[in-house]
Amino acid sequence: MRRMQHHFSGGVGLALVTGFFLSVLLAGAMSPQDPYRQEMEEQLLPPSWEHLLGTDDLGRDLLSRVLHGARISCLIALVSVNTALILGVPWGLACGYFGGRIDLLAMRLIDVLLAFPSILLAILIMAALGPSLSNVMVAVGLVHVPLYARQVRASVLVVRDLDFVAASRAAGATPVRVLARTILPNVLSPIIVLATLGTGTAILEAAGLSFLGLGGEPDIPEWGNMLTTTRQYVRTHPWVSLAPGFAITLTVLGFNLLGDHLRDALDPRTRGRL
Amino acid sequence: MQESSSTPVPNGPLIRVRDLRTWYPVRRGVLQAIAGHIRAVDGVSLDIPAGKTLALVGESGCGKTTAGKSILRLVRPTSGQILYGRMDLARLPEAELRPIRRDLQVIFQDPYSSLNPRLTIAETVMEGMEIHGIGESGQERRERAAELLERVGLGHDALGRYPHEFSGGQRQRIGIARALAVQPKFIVCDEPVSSLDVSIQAQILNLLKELQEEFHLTYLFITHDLGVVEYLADQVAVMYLGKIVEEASCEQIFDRPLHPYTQALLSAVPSAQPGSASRRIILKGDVPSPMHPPSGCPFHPRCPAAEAGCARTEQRLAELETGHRVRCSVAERKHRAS
Repeated sequence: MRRMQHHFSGGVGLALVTGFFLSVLLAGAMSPQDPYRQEMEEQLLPPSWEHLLGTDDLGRDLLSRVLHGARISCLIALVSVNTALILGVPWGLACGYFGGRIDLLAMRLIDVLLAFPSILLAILIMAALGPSLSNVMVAVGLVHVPLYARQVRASVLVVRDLDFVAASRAAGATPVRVLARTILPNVLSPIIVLATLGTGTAILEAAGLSFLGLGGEPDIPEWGNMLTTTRQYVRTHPWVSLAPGFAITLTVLGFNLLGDHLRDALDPRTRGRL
Repeated sequence: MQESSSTPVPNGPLIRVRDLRTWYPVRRGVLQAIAGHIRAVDGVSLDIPAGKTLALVGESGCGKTTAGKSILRLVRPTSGQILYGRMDLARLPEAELRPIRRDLQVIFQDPYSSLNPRLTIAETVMEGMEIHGIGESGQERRERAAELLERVGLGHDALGRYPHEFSGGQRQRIGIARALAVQPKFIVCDEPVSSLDVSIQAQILNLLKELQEEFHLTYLFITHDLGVVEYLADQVAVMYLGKIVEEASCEQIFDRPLHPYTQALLSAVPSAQPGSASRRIILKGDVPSPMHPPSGCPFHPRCPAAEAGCARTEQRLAELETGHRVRCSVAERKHRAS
C-alpha cells in the first residue's frame, strides 16, 4: 500500500516536473501572445477562450506570461543550484575527508549560516549586491551552499574510512584523486536528491525575493514579480494572482515529490522494496 | 621454514620497524581537548624478513590491524621508525611516499568494503598502474589486468563487471590482483581469509603462497587464526594490547610457546589428533581498554601465571633462545632455571 502511494506521488512529481520543462522548452510555441504586449482595452479580463487564464492590469495575456515565467524560473534554478553545488560540494568533500581544525571551524560557520532563516540571509546578500534578477540567482545559490556542504561532508564521513579508500591511497593516489575518483562517485546519490529538492526551494525563494521587489524590472514575467505587481487586484480579480501562484505551487510540489521519490529509490536500504 | 633462524637471511629484513607507536587522541568537549590516548600500537619493533611471511597474531582489538596500517602509512604513526631500504617511512612526507607506495600493498579483510562499488573490476585493478605509469597505454594496462585476474583465478569477462556481481571469495581474488598490479615487494595481508568460508579459505591461502614464490613477495600476515599461521608463517609475533609479547620462528612458537598468553592462544586450537586433548587454558575477562592499560605487564589481570610483581614492573622483551624473544619475567625466570 505504502509502496503504491510512493509510486503514485513519484509519478505525480515526475508529471509536474515534465510539465514545467515542457513549458520551458515550448513557451514560445505554446504562448498565444507576446508576454510583454499590453492591450489597454483588455485590462483585467477574466479567463475566457481568448485568454485562457485572463489578463492582468496592463492587459497582458497571463497564460503567455506564466509560460515564459517557467523559463526564468528554470534559469534561476539552474544558476542557483549550480552555484550551491560548485561551492558546497568541494567544501563538504574537503571538510569530511581532511577533518581536523579547519573542518571544525568550517562546520561551525555553516551552523551559524544555517541558523539564519534563508530568506533573511538572501535579503542580506541582495542588500549588498543590489536588486536584479541575476543577483537573486546568486543570493539563492549562496544561501544553499551550507546545506550542500553539510550533506556532502556527512556522506564523506561514512565513505572515508571504507577499505577501498585506503586501497586508493595505498595505490599512491593523491588526495584530489581520492576525492574526485573514489569518494565523489560514492556520495553522488544524496547530492542528486538534494539538488532535486533544492531546485524547488530555489524557485520558491527566488519568487519570494522577487515578490519583495528585489527582482529588478517589474515587467519581467517572473512568477514572484507577477504576484507582487498584481497584488492589489487579488480581491477584485483573483485570477491575476492565481495563475502565477499555482505555477509556483505546482512546480515546487513537483520537484519535492520527485526528490522524495528519488531519495527512496537511491537509498540502498529501501531500493529492494521499491 | 627450511632455514633456521640462526642462518642469516641473505638480504636481511626488508622492513625494520623500531619502537612504533600509534596513539589515537580521544577528544572531548566543545574545544575538542585531548582527553587521553588509545594506545593502539605501543612500542612495536619487528624485522620483516625479505621473501618470507611474518605473522602478526592477536585477539581483535590488540592493535594488529593498526600496526599494519601504520607500516603502510595509511595511518600516521605517533612515533618510531619504519625502515625500508635507507628510508624511514614514518617520517617521509606524503608526496615523497607516494612513489614508494608501489612497493607496499595491502589486502583487506572485508572483501565487501575493499572494492569501490562504482568502479568496474578493470578500473579497480588498473588504478595503481595508472598512478605509477605501469604500461604504455590503456590497452596495455587492460591486458595486464586481464592477465592478473586470470592468474588469481578469474576469467577475462570479469574486467567490465562491477564488484556486486562477485562472491566474497572472488572479490578477495580481485583484491589480490589489485595489490599485485603495481608489482609490489611487500604486502600486508590483513586477515585476508577471516571472512571467507573454510573451503574458500584454503584456496586463497594456497594462492597467496604460490604468488609469494612466483613474485618473491614479503608478507606481513595479520590474523587471529593460528591454524593459518602454522600453514604459512615463517616468523610469528604475538601481540597483546599494542605490544609484542612473544616473537619467534613458527616452529618455536608452536613447539615451545613461552609466554602465558601465547600458551593460552595455542591451547584453544583444536587438535587434529584424537585423544591428544590438551589442557585448555581459559582466559578470564576481556581485553582491557587500550586507553587505560593495566600497570606493569598489561596481561597480568588475565594471566594464569601472574605473580604479585607483575602488576608493578614493566616487562622487557628478552631473548631466551636464538630468535625467540618473550616479554614475561616469570617465563624468563622459569626458562633460565630449567
